Amino acid sequence: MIQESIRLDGVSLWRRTQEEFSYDLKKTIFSLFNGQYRQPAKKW
Amino acid sequence: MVIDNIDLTINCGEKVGIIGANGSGKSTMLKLISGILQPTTGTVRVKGAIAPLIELGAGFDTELTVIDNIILYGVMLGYSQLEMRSRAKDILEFAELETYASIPVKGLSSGMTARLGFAIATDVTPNILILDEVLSVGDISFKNKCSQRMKDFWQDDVTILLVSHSMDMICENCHKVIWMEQGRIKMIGQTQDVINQYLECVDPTGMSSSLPQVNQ
Repeated sequence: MIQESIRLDGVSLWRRTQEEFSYDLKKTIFSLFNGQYRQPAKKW
Repeated sequence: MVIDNIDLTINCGEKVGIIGANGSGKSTMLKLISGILQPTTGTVRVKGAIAPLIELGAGFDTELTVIDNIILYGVMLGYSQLEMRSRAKDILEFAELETYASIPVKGLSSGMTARLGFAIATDVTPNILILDEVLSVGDISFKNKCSQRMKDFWQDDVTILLVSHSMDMICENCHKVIWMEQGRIKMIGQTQDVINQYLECVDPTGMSSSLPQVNQ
């Protein structure tokens, strides 16, 4: 019988690192201040 | 999203190649499988000991000597210190670093570090071996040695995940390929089929050299 070695079920990752999160947060705040904020595109 | 809703099953003993453009999520997926990163949603299940060679020098303490790193790496994979000491000679010999045993890893070149990582990870015969472009820095003679060792693994029940931009290497070592694009699996299937589709997509003019045949 074939045995599974690796199994991924519905695996998603939004951001790789805390730094990436901080960068996104700062970018969003600055764009809000500058009135350039745009909502992220919807995923279908 | 870096990785977007991936469902994937890899069976014991499968040799799987992962291809795709830079930033497509290949290395990130391997980090999720290795437990280096935790997924935001979904589950990752892995059976057996993993030896990940994901980034050059990852897992090494660069301040420690080569021999200490060999022991440390082996212990992290579940081997005893005594066993690793007995294996150290073979590892150093394979990596061609016998004379560097007592030198800190930070003193090694990138090629030497890759050789050391490969030598340790493949000497301890893990259940799952993850190779992420680590062999690209090695010289030709070491690449040949690695290919030979990979062929030995081919006979065993070791699961291998190999990320490479070298289609030759993927063709020689894998019987299944995953093509990743923008954090998703674009295609999964037989090596030659996936590579043909991939090359057709990235190189529609057919400028790249002809593909080697899969030798399985």
